[in-house]
Amino acid sequence: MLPHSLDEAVEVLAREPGMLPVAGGTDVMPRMNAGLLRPRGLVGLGGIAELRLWRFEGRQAVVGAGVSWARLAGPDLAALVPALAVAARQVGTPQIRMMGTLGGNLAARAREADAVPVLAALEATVLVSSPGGTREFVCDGAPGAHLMPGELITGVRLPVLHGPQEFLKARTAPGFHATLAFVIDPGARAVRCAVGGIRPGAERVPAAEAWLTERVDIGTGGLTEPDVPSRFGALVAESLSPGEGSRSDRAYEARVVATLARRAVERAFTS
Amino acid sequence: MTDITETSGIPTFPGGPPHTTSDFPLPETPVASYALRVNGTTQVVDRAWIGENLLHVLRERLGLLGAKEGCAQGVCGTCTVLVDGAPAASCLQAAATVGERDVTTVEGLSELGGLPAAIQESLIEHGAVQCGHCIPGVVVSAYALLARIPNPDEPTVRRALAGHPCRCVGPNRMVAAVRAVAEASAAPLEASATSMFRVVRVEDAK
Repeated sequence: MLPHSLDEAVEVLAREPGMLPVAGGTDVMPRMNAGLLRPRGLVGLGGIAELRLWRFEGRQAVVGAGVSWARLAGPDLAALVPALAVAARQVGTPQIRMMGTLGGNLAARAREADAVPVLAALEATVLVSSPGGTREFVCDGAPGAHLMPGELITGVRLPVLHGPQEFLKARTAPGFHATLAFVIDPGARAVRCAVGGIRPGAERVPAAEAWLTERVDIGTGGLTEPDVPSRFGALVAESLSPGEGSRSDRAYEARVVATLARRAVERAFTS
Repeated sequence: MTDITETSGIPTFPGGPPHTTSDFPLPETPVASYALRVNGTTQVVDRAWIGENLLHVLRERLGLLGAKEGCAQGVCGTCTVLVDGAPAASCLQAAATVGERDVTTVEGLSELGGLPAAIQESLIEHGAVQCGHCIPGVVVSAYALLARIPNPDEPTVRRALAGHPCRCVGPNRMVAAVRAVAEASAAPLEASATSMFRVVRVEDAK
C-alpha cells in the first residue's frame, strides 16, 4: 500500500487496524527480519511528498515527519536547530541516516531515540493526523506513547532559538548510549536540558535547569562561579529517576551523565 | 541456485532466512505483487510476503547476488544498494514500499564501466579485498560519493565509508583506493594544463 497523499494514508490507517506505517524502515525492519513483527499490511510513507518538506510558520520551523537524518544534518536545518543536526550526524551509518526519519524516531518508543531528548529540551510540539483532524502535543520524554490508534505523526514544530545548543552522546554499554540535549532559550531567559538513552524515555531535569538559570548570565554567557558546570553535572545526574541496572551500572551511568552535562555547560557558556 | 525446489508454485529456499513466504504457512501471511525498478528495468515481484526486505527480493527473487546479507540490522553495510542514487541498507528497506524509486545494485553499476570499474580495480590494486564480503557495498558507497563529490578529502571519504566495517583489512586501504580513483580522475586536467610547453601523454606523466 503506497499512498501518494497524507489524507489517503491517514484514511487507510484508520480504516484497517493492524496496518503498519513504514517510512525509512530502520526501526521496523530489524524486527520484521527477525520474524518478531508480522503486520497485516504495510503503508509505505515514502511516496508522500508533503511529509518530506519543512517550512517556516512565524518564528517556528515545521519539519515534516518524513525528513531523514541526512536532511536534518544538512546546512539549512543545522542553522535553525543545531542540536538536532548534531544528533542527526551521529546516528548510525550514512546508509541509515539516508533512510531513517524524524517521525519514525519519535514513533519508535525506543529509549535509543536520539531525537527525543533534543525535542524535549526544545519544548517542540508533535503534529499528528487522524481522519478526525489534526492535533498537537508538547514533546515530552516518550512522544510515541501519546499516539492514539490510527494517528500518524506528520511533523514537528520546532522553536528557532537564538542561543547555543548542545547535543552530547557517550557509550555506556555495548549498544547503549547516554544522550544529553542542552538548549538556551534567550527569549524566556531559561536553560533546558534533557537526558536520553539510559531510561525508557528521555527525562527533563527541571530542578537542575532552575538552579543553573540563577547562576548564568544568558545575555553575556558568563557564569557566576567557575565550578557551576561540574555542580550542574552532579545535579543532573542526581535528578534522574532511579535506574534498573546493577549498582555499578547505575553509578557509571550517573558519572557519564554528569560529565555530559558539565561539558554541555562548558561549551555553551565559556567560549 | 540448484537447491531451489518448487512446492505448489511458490519457490522455497532451504536454509534461507525465516521470512520467506514458504516459512509462514499460516493463512495470515499477507502477500502482494508489485513492480520494482532495478538497474533501469522494471521487474515484477509476484505474490511476495509484504514484509520481505529489498535485499531478499533482489537476491532470491530477482537473482541479483551482488548485495550480501550480513547482519540484517543495517549495521554491516554489505547489503548497500542505491535507492534514487543514495546508498541505502537494502535489508532495512521493505521491498513492497520502494514504489517508483530507482534501485541500483552493484551489478547495475558494473555495467556502466567507467567510474565503478575504476573503483573496483583500485580496491584490488590497493589490497583492500580479502574475503570480499564487504566489497560490493563499498563499491556502491564509493560510487555514490564520487558521483556527488568528484575529489573528496580523506575525512569525507572516511565518513562516506563509515558504514562498511571491514574485519579483514580495516578501513585504510579502501580509503586509499577511493582517494586514488578521485585523484586519477582529476589528473588529466592537470596534465593538459602543464603540458603547454612539453607534450606528455597522461599515461607517461603518471
